Amino acid sequence: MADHDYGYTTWGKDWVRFAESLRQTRPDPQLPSARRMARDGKVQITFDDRTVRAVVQRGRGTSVVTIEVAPMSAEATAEISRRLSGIQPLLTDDLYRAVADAGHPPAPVLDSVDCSCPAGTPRCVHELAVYYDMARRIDDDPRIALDVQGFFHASAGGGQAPAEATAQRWIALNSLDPAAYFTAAE
Amino acid sequence: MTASTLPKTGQQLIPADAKGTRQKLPEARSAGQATYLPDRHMFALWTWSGGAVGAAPPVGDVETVPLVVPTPDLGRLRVADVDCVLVEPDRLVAVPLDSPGRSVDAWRSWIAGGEPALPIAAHAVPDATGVAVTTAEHASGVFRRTTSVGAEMRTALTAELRPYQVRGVSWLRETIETHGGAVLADEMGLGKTLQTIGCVAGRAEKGPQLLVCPTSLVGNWAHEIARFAPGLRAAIWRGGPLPEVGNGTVVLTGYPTLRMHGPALAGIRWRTAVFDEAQALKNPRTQVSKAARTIAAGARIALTGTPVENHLDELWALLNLVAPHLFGNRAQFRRRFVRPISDGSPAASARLRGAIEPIVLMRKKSQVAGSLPPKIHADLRCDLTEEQERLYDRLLEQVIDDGFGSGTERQTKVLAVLTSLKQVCNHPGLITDDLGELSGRSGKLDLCTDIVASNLENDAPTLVFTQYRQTGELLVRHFAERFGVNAPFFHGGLNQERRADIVRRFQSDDGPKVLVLSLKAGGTGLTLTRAADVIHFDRWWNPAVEAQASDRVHRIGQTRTVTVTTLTTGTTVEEHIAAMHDHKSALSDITDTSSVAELTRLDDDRLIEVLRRKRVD
Repeated sequence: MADHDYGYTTWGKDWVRFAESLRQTRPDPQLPSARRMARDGKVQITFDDRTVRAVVQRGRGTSVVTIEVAPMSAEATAEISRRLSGIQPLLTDDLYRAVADAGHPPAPVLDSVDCSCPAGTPRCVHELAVYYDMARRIDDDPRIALDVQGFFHASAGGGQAPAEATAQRWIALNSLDPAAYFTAAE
Repeated sequence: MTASTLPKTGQQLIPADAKGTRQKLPEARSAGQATYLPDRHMFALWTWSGGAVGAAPPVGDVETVPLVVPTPDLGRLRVADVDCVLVEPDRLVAVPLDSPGRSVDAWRSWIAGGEPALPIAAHAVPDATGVAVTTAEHASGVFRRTTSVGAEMRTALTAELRPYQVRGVSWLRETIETHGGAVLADEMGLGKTLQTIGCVAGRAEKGPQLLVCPTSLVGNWAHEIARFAPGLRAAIWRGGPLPEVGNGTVVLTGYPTLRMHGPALAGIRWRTAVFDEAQALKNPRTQVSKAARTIAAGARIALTGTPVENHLDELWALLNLVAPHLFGNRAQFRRRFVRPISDGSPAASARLRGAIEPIVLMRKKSQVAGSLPPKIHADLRCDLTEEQERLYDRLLEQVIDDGFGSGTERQTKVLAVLTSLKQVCNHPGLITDDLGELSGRSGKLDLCTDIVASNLENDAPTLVFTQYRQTGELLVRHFAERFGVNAPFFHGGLNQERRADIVRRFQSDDGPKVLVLSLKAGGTGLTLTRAADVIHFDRWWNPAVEAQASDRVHRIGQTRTVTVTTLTTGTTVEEHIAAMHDHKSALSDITDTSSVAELTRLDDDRLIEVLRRKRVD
């Protein structure tokens, strides 16, 4: 049975799906321990743009998991920006469904997943623990779901910035140029 | 979890665009800066010198404000606590600054009607989680809209709004338009009533509006609306057939009426529904909350003065009332915020502030102190309960039957009648000796209790003055029963030693949170500056006596804004006393007895006219 401690929001659920694929037909014995590792704080995640880097502890060993997330499609970015209408992102489950119903599901796509552990299997327990920890963080703050797909970079800077029509409330700190701090950019 | 891209305020550095552009910044040496604070409609003035934040310009009291500033190498931006002086827009134009930077020039130009581009310094307010900055478009948009609302309010209201109050009105409008609802949670004394009237006045032409508040405050709302927005038609509704509603009408009613007669309101499409002291709706399962949710309204506004962050379940109830589409899922709210915050997670608190920021405006007196006078006066009208009305009328009938007599007898009699009528206003039990249950029987006591409750929440010690020993004892007992606080009573019956002891204990940091004083004994000489909040439970003829008592807290050593609240029972002789204050304030040598003597000289008919209740409905 699914553990509802992870993915209680639709945004977090996407990451649970990486661990608990709907195509999976047999129970994966690694999942309970992956969940336990996430719950016990054995996963330390840092973000760098669309790269998720996680240090995962298990027993006395430490592994590093690196996940590259694909950028969100321009259409999905535009759709979400439009619905947020320029205010602070309030990412409810309803918004998720509306965006999905409009034909642009905001679920992330993973470009690559890599783990430093020697287990030769395609799905190691470290990787699974990272998916759960991502779900947990996103449940807490769904903006991470968008951030890790480059949403805020795209809507803040980029050529045809989708959110330009309406006055946006906030702009990500890391998308600003400190050179324009004292003198306005042209 | 430790490392993440969501830093706690002022801790972590965020890399800038990796373009490696390290331009020479012309203002990197030393310049005065102005950052617009959208929530307060004020400017934070600060300086940048030698690659770091410098001392605040010497033009006022220094306050610390978190702002986004560059790192010393100008390579990145980070959140830091910056020493600032806060000024209102009018003052920014003329305030003397050494070498004003581009941000100062740009805002001065905006104030003059220009629209130059703003550097980041001009809008460097971070979000609650410290990962984003207010955009230039948002800052300039708020500034422009608020300035235009300010001009509009000068003709719509008969009162002059302070800048943060103008922002309150423009914020209510924007928020209602974007989300359909808003929670105004300013600290008590900042003028939520006035800001709400400003917002309601602007929407009057588009349909009827509804305002629900505690029963004891209905009269106060009617009074304030008549005073500040004479163009609005306030209609008090206490059940029965609804008054005729149309454009420009504001129907005022109490929560008990909403609970019992709610269905009568359901047939109308209200332009706006306002819920004052909305903590009354904290439990979503109660009948009154259900009735509130069934009201069909184009916009819902909840007003509360209690610090919402301390009561997260209550907060959710308010959010759910005004914006159910954004805060519909209570279980998610609990998991995401309530649980981690109760476990002591500061990151969760910041996330919560970020999440509610779009629909909750919450300002404290300390944040807008520069816009406040040293003393705020809040004159509240409270209503009589039915028990009070009956008793008041019966006492007066008795007096009319007995007659007032003449000569000295007359003077004694008038004084006695005044005293008993004023006691009815304080609490009917003081006359009937039925002092079992105290709550719900005196509009004034209930209102006073709400204020004290709110001050207790805010850790704001309170002085309560009364003229009557019996009333004082009743207050002490009631505060003990309601809040479990042990409020000392400073009165003339205590010897010098006990009095000194009360003052000394009150001034100590962990002293009592409420102090009751008799106006005569406690009105002069004492220094009670640990409190910044004073309540006058009953009215005295001479305003100078009240002012002198209020000055117990407003003395040298007081650093906060003092809030003086007077409680006047509407439609009664207390209103007459309050009215006398207005033309008396100028005269200082009025003795207290002369006002009574003045009344004594009236003939019986005129005298009864003064004492009789003025029916409002």
